[in-house]
Amino acid sequence: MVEHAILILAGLGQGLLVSGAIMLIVTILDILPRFCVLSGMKWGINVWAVIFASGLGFACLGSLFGVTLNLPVWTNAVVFMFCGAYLGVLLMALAETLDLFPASLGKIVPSDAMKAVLILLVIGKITGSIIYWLFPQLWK
Amino acid sequence: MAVLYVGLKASIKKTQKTELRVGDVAQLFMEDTSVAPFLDAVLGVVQPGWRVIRPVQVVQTLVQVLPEGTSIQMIGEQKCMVQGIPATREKHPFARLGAVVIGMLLFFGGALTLMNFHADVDMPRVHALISTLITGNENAGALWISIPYSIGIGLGVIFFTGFGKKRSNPNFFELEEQEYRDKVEKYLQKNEAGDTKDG
Repeated sequence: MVEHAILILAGLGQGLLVSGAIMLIVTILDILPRFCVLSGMKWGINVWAVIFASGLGFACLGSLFGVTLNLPVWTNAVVFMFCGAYLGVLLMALAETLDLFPASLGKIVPSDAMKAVLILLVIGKITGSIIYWLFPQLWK
Repeated sequence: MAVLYVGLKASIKKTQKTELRVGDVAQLFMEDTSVAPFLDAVLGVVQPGWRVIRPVQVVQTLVQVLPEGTSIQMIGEQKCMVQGIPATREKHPFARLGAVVIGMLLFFGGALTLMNFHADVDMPRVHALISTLITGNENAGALWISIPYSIGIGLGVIFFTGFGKKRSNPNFFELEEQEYRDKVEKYLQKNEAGDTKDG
């Protein structure tokens, strides 16, 4: 009984820590505030935080308890498009927080041309990702 | 000699195409005299976007309505930013669709983040190891730790947002949102009003 209580406490503590860390990262990187403003809705940021947290719960069901939804394979394309978009947002938010663009391109590229640099960056990322997945032998 | 004290506000929002009055952009005080007539002095018409109102514009308007011999003392902000907002906000037909897309992005993004983390650290194995460490039994069942862990993930968010109790202070998310909105507003003020476009 005591063992089970300790296990429960350990699990709860670990969960609290992990969710706290993840929520902190997405908030400090301005991902949640940005999406809240971008949505144009007056729901407040807590609603978006709950949606994000629901995703965390969904991931727990899948990766710890092996729950499957048995949906058709094409749904992967939809889901992973959102996953990829999120990853792009995360990378750009990280680059912005670290002041990567002003630090590396500030004196080389005029601010008017920054849009073109961003477009090139997006094209580069898509191309790199497609090459990575289409030619896995290159990385073995 | 009577002195009128004029305290400019930092920023205001007013409906477009309405008259911008001194009372909208500043607080007035004059000893032993009502300032009500001066508050209604018109500075111009509210235009869409941002506009800078400088102290000199307020003074130029006020000298026309002030009694002779009154001096003006400016206090408060150096300029007031006026944002012209539409009278009725048009609802974008795809506004709700955008919210759904953002919701999906956050939901699947959250799932991806946690799954990546679980895969990186091999979380099921970590749970099994902790379970063995505590019970000394390899078959004790990691569910005793995995289920509370999942509940803990939800509780962590509740701790952050403080649902279910009356809060007098904003939570961390709300503070960050406010900070982000302020940054956006400052950027728009600089970008749209500029330093020279003060008419």
